Amino acid sequence: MTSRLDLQNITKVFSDRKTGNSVTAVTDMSFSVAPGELVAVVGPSGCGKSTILNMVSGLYGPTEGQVLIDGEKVTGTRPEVGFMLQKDLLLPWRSIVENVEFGLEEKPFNKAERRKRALAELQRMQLADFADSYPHQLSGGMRQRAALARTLAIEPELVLLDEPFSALDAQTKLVLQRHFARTIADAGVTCVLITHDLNEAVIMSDRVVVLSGRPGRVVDEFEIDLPHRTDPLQRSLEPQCGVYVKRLFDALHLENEDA
Amino acid sequence: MSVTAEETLTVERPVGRSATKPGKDTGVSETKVNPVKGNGSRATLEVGMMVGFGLLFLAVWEFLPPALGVPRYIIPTFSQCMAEFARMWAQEDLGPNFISTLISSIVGFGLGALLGAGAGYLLGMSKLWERVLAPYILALQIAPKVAFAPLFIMWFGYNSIPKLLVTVLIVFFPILVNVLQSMKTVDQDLMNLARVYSMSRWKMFLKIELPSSLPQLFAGLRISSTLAVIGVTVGELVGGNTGLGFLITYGEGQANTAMVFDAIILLTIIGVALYFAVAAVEKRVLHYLERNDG
Repeated sequence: MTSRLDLQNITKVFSDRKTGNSVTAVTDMSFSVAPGELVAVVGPSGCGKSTILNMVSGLYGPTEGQVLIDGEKVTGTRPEVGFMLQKDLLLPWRSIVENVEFGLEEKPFNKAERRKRALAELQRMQLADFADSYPHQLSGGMRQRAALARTLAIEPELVLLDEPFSALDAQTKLVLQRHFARTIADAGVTCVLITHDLNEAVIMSDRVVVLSGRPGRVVDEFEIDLPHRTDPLQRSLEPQCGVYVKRLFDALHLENEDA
Repeated sequence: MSVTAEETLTVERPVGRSATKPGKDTGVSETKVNPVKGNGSRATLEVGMMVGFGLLFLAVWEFLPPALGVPRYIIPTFSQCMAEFARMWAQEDLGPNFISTLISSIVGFGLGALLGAGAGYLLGMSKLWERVLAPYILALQIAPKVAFAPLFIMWFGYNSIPKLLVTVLIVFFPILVNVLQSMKTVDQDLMNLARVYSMSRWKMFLKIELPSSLPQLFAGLRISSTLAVIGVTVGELVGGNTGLGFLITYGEGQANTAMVFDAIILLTIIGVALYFAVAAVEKRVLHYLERNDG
């Protein structure tokens, strides 16, 4: 099962109760994600990338416009959405398998069923040997894989990834990007990948949505017409890859910015 | 702990089954050094020095005051204090008095901890009440709790209630403040994750806030465990007819300095025992945390 996601003319204004100032995070933003599609959202920092994620997951609503999942308006959190951040959000007092069970505990499964599903998910992430370890005993990459196991264990139809690789070292990142790409394709879920890494956006997605600086709005949107979506490393060898990265670079007007 | 060049060379991995891929956090644990395991002879030396220092102290205590002509009603020697222990045991009901203070400390600590933690969690759940009550909590926290002892005696008489109340009051605040602080610093992204999983407020408390708060709760318990004995002692000093605090005033009245010394020694032992009991429970409960102290 996969879902379709539509953002229609979304505006989100945050008002500071103390100072009375209001900040417009995103303004009149529209884009869609087709079932099974992986769309990367890139933009400068402060363009409201995380705001989008929170609105799609139903943590808060937009000020104007609406978020639709399968044509249905999002009014609160919903069980078919999984989300994952740069932080692994593993509970340090739970073993890895118990962490994977965390989301399953809100589903109507008994204990044995939960454990079975969690272990199966860890098997898929090649973490079965670490089921009884605690998070601090694992490396950053392994913890992020455990977090993906937790995210996918609830069998979401829509997965929101907020810079899941940005805290990892370069090598771990490469390995994990490939692992994620395959796993997500296998699971067949719709996926929004928020990232500031232009190369990552190109090698991992079907389509890229480019946002402007605050207030965020869509300034460009294009398909990545390259093979190997399930193998980012292989895709990065495609000669066209650099062209897409350059296009992103231009769309973000990065040439005018000082480092 | 000072880390010398020699120690940094003996790098030990904290866990047998460790990560295969280099992650940002394993880098930290790899530089961790365990001087006890890394250098056995040094550890033995440390223990030797510790015991040696203790023996030296006892020797000075035993022989210096008589050598300087200090009378026993000012500083009784070590052996005189030990002899006084035996006399107190036989003639002054040392056993029952000790037990009375021990039980008061444990009960007072337990009640204070329960109330402090409970209040901390309740206030932590409500930003409004926390803000409304903050100045009063601060005022009560600053007020010297031991000064309440005479007041409690006026209210409740010469029984065990005043000393328990002082203990509860003194134990209460460090725990309240620590728990409250921990509730404020719970990772909001974790709470959001739970919200996305449509978890109820109560379950979020049980599964995230309560376990997140445990390290700070135990920090509060450790501080309070050392304070509990102070509360009981003050209660007994001011208006008790049992307990080690009472023996101190009793000994003072008889100019029996050895008795005062002995009572202080036993009070210290109760405090230390309470502290280590808390530390032992903490180590069991917080087993999932990486430790530097070995």
